[in-house]
Amino acid sequence: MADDTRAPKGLNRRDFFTSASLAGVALAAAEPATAQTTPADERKPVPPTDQRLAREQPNVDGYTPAEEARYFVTHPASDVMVDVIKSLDIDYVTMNAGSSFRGLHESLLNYGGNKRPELLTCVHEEQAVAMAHGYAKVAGKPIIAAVHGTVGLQHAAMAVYNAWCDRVPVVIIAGNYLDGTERRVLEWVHSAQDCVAPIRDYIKWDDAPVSLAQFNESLVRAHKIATTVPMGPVAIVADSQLQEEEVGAAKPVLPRPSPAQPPRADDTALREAAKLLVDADMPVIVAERYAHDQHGVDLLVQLAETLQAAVVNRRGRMNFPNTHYLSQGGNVAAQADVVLALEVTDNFGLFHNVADQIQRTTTRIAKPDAKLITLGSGELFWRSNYQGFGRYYGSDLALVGDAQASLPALIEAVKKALPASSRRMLDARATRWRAAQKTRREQALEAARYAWNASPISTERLSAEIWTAIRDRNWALVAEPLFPSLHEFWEIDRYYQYIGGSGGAGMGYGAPAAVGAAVAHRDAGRLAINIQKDGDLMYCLGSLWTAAHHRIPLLSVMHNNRAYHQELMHVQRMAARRRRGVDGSARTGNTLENPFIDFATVAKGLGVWSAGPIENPDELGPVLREALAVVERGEPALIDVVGQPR
Amino acid sequence: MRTSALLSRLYQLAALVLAIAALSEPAAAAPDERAPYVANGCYQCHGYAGQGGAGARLARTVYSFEAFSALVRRPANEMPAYAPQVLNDQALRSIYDYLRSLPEPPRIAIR
Repeated sequence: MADDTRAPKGLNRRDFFTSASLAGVALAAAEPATAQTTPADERKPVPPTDQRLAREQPNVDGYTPAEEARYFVTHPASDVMVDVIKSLDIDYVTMNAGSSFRGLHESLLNYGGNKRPELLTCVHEEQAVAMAHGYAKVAGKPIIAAVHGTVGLQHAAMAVYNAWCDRVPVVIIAGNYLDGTERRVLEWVHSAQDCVAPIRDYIKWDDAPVSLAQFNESLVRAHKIATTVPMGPVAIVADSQLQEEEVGAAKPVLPRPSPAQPPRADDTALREAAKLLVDADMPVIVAERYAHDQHGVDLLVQLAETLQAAVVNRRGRMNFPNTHYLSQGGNVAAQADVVLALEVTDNFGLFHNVADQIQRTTTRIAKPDAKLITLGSGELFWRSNYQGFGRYYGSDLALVGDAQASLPALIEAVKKALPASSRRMLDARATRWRAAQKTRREQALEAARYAWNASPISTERLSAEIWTAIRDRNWALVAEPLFPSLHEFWEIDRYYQYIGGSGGAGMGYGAPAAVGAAVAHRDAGRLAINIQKDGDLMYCLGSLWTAAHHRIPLLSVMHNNRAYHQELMHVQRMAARRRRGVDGSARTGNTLENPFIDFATVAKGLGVWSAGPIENPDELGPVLREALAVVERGEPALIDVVGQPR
Repeated sequence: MRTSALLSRLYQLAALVLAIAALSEPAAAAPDERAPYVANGCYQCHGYAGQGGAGARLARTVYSFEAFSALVRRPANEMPAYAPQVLNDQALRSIYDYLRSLPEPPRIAIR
């Protein structure tokens, strides 16, 4: 006996469109009669409709119109979605396949030709979003991460949070099954009335369109919002039925993309800032997520040289060449009388330190009368729940606008405000900073001596050996190693050579973001270098397979310290504070041993050339040369190096 | 008396020579000499070779044991205070000896 509850009670969406198509056929059938009533001199040539062509051309398959409507879709809506995606200059779609976007998946391949965008196969949604994150920071534009509705979006959540904190545009398309009366059994657990809800606290915008026209507009709007400063991830739901429905041959007018120009800070306020900087005895510039491209780096060099002001790079991006004599360590901010903070998130932390003690004490590390000028776009957009905005600190002058876009006006204002008599003072500052940088470099080299031959291999030796191997190549670092020696030994003077870190300090970003960044570097003809942490790699191991599958050249050198050392020290701190614990007890739960992870074997199993574990520092040079030869042939390679904690 | 005084001075001179020799050519640390240093997590911030990093460089420390001990028991910065219940005097002495015994680092150049 038939189950009446499963029978459609009315027209569902597909029935509606099928009916509409048949009605169109009926209308077309009536066309000749209408035409006959039109006077001959008023007739104008019109292109034949699809329905007419279908009637006039023999149906070689022998299907009746009803059968055609039952079995086939000639113009699926997802083809139009691909047209919109192409209009946005999207080069790649990272994805882990899911049935909720099978329509779009097929259209990208067979309608879009799998070119611009090209699909990059991922084995986890966290990987897909993190790859898009890394790619965008190198290419300067977003790509799409396609995820499978409820389950995929929840897998992706941590990577979305990282992109949010790091202010990086990622466009997420999430498949979903909106109409409950159409869902098959498993689709119920893959459906939500609001599937973006889990990530809404850390994206800039989202929409769940119910029509193709709305989808098109929302995707273009989402792209614009994602790429407008402060940038960030966005999400658009692509309803499964909407993707798969027949929409006819008529090409819809696609929404025109209109990229937003970055906002500039107020000119009067910029002149006030210039006066404060010029009047300062020791101005210092601190930059975090300031530069969008090489032009931003060049502008900051110009400003710094005009003032002979030290620049502290907080390394959210490559903001300033570390080879420049004005590039200084973070401690100089404490000596400043005026600090200009460019796109810095934690302004309180610039001037204060909170000690990790039983009674947490806050100490002002800046001079008592030091002034703070903030220039950035962060204040234009924040959400409440997640607290990445840091503790409130009232700056002396708060300029709101994109820092890079505002810098030309600030530079001009500084030049105008500088008195002619300032030359000698500026020269004295330059001399001081040149000497300070020389001293710091010498100290770094001296520090590297002490564990030069040590095993596990020191981070200083690792930095130095990699640098020696790559320095004559067109290289780019796609990782955020936490050892400072790299920033002393490597000459980082181009924007693309460094992309900062994860943003949210969430594990699992490193490997996939490196692969995503390596895709962009491959397209630009550069050699991508990843320094891969062991703990991080265990989150998204599959990224290595993606690199092998798509032949993405990437050299990954493991900083395999076989533990979560920061956490180990936290437990050690607790034990010391409580005056208990036997020797080594803090290792439990924090070390990756018994057995040690054999990353070279793991990588090999995922199709990546590998070597290691390397424990003797003298073996590093030869194995690096061998691995570089592999990467320069267009393949990924991984060297497992057993290293010291930090 | 003169003989014993001379002997005493000779002993003092010999001790001084030995002390200087110990400072200039310390013996390489045997693996077990590093054990308390590792077990108590010192390497986390100061490196396996005492080279420093997140914490200060400790290799070949110039502090006396008393000064070193005071820094460990009552650190001025964010370093956890290691009380005798966690790190007894004998283990602390072993850590100190290990750090003092580390060899002179090589001269290096980074191209």
